[in-house]
Amino acid sequence: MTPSSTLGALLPKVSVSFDGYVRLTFDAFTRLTFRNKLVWEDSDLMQEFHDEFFPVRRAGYCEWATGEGNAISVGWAWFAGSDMEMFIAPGHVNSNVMFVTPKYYDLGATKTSELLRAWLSSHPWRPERILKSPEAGLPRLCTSTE
Amino acid sequence: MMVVTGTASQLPAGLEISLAAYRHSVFVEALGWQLPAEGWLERDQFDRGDTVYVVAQGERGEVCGCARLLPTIKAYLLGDIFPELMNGSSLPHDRHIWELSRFSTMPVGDSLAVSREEARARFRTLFAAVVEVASAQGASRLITVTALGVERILRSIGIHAHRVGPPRILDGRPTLAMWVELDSQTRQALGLCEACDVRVKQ
Repeated sequence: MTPSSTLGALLPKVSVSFDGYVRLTFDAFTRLTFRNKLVWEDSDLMQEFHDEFFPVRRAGYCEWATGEGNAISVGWAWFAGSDMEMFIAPGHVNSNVMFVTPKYYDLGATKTSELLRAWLSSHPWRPERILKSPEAGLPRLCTSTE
Repeated sequence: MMVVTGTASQLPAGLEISLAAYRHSVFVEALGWQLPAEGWLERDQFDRGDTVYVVAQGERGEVCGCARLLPTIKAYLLGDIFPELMNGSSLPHDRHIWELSRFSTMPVGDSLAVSREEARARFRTLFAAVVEVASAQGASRLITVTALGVERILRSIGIHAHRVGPPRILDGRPTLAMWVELDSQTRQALGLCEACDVRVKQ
């Protein structure tokens, strides 16, 4: 069993900067555990894709977060094509994180979003099931905690 | 689209009532928010004498968009009603931080539905006016409570917006607090560094 002091050294320390960003390196981020997960369908998002002549069968959002209090939050849009396979939608992956270099220089919001997308691509983010909206505009939520 | 701004006493005669009626149409009737209403007018405790309004008007003078700005050194929506959205961080209390609320460019009444491109253009125009007005009040950043769809729009436009923490389910809808930095990135995304065709009356 790993001593708790060693576990503490392995887990990244999370603190919020003056501007609200949680700054940490990508390596530290990959060691986080996301316990709270939401997924839902969104009719407005699906309409956005249709208006852009991008045929999708379903669309919505996913949200992951670490524990309570100064939680790190990651959210993204998704869509499903004609064969119902789910993909991360075009656009930013949103977060309260700003990735930094080992010397603590900001990588910037765009690079952070790109790294989050790369990180997501290697994780099994697709939910086993999605609850279809019972009414237009009102999301039904599928939640899970670990 | 013409944009008019000011406190309630500074707005042209009758516009504050038209604004309250527009807000009722959008937030109470269309979006179904549970808000205090005086008949067909929507106002709450944050509509004070020092509240700054940004009001968009169409060619016929009808209200077609709105936004509300409150200083965080006094009572404001996030601080009083939704503090849990701060994700464990302290609520802002700073004369350089203003809260944006009741932002809408939704067409109502006899106004014709607009294309997505026109809707996006109106959004940018009104948000640009908000940034100009807030900056004139001394703000360097805004905080706002909003839906995920708005976060997506703000970032797609290139505005420097970032979330405070995870969204929470409020009235059945995922809602989150966001920062909007009134910096060069935001101004450039809104075309404020270039010639701006938004006429802002104060």
